[in-house]
Amino acid sequence: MNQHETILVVDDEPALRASLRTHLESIGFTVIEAENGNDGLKRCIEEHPDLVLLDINMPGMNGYEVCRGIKAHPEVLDTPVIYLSAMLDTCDMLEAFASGGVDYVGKPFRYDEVNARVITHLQLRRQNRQIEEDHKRIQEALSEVRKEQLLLIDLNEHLRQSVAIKSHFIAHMRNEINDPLGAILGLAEEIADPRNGLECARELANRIKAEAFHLDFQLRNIFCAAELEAGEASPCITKVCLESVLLDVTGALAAPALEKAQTLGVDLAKDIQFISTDAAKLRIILANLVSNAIEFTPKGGKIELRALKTEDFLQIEVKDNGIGLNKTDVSIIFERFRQLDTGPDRAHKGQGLGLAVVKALVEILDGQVSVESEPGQGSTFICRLPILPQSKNPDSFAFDGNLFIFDEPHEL
Amino acid sequence: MDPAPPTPVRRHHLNPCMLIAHPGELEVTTLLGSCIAVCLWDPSRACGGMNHYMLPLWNGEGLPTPKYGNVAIEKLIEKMLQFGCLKRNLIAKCFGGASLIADATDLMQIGARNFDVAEELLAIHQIPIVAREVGGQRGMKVIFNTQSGVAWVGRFAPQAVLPPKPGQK
Repeated sequence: MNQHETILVVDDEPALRASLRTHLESIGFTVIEAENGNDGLKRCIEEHPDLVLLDINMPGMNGYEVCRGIKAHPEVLDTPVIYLSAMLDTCDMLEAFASGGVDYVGKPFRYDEVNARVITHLQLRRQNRQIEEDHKRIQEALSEVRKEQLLLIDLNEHLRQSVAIKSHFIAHMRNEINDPLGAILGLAEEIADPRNGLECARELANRIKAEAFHLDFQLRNIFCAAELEAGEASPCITKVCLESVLLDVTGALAAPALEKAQTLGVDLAKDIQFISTDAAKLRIILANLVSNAIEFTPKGGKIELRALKTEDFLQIEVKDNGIGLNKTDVSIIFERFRQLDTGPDRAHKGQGLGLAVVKALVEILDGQVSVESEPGQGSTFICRLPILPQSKNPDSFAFDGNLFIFDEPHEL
Repeated sequence: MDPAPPTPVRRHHLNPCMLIAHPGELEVTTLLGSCIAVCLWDPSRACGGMNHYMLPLWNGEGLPTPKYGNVAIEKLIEKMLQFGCLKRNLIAKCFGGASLIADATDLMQIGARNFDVAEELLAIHQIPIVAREVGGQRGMKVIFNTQSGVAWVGRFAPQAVLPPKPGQK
């Protein structure tokens, strides 16, 4: 038996209340009393008893009214009410049940009968509550499942799109790889042809170099994107000479810029000679931004690569005076496989992977990338990378399994 | 009976961008201009190694190879530790870093910049530089014995132009 269950006894006869209290307390219940209907209803609402023993004939508010009052109150309407009554004819009984009572005990009553009915109804109430609770929990679980299901539907849609984009990408990429490769093969055949002279070979070799450079660039981006996709990319922070990276990138891209008669300027602030960052990732970021600028700037354009220090950030800007972007384009250019001008006759090379790679790499380095642009006014891509404290742990290159770099002793 | 003739010391010529470490006796030679060779030696185990790097810091181009100081020094330390050396026992000797072009601009002072990296990284690893022959305007030849830790250095004569072998500075 639950020791904490409380029973409210509403009766106008003090002697009867007292005897019920004595009896009920002796078997472990807590008892509260009310001497009339008004008081009974008030105490019931205030103290939330687990069961009410209610006399019908009382001065003022009678038992039925009290019971209806209880049933009308949202907080206590499920409290079981057992009537105590001298006599009930069939009519009274019906009224008693109609008002919301669950049972009655005839007066004069036997304590064991009161016991039995009280315990039965308390048990029923407990079970009811349990069922309600279970029901509520099931409902909650169901709504949770529904929410998850919506997420899954969303995710599925996302995956479907992703797969569509990927197959589109693969078709695209095949061209990107096949075209330069085909050109290289063809040019190499030309060189091998004994009818072609050496002078011709030099020219052909230069063209092969340009095609191979393009192929190499695309493959690096693809591998980088694959690594990012697999979640295997992590920064390898070392001390880096910024000038060396900037010059290396502009040097590698000098040939395509020269072909379009573009000027490629580098402007490096004096106070950021060395920084701590991931050299390989920084190089890919800059190479993509500069190569994009070259691609989307017309002949004779001007491209500028600037690096400066702002507060705690290293800010690298790649500014061109090319075709520029409008507002809606700015929002989507960093998405994967997105080139604004699509279709077989598009004017620009590339799979639209570069800027997505740039964004992902910048984010791995805890930085941000943004673009400022107006159509026809050129664009400025701005990378802001945090300036990390000088690495205390220089072991970034350690244990990566490059054993080929070790010389083995041999006789001189 | 005559004592067995001493076995000749094995020799090894270290090319630029490479490194070597040897648990036994090996005489490593190399030719340096603006490059740096860092020799590490562990007196308690009598083993040592040498690298020969051309540029101070890897700039992300290609692979991180021992062409770059910050890679070459880390890799050499790593190799020494693989032989069972303890970092606190290691000592270093540094050579090279000459500036062969008389009035080079800041970025062209490769020799000095190369040595800066060695000093900085060895300090971080708390490996003392017990001997050095760096800077100047002439290249040098270094012979390092991995067992005795003895390093012999010879500067090229002033009028001598560096041998025009490709890749050697």
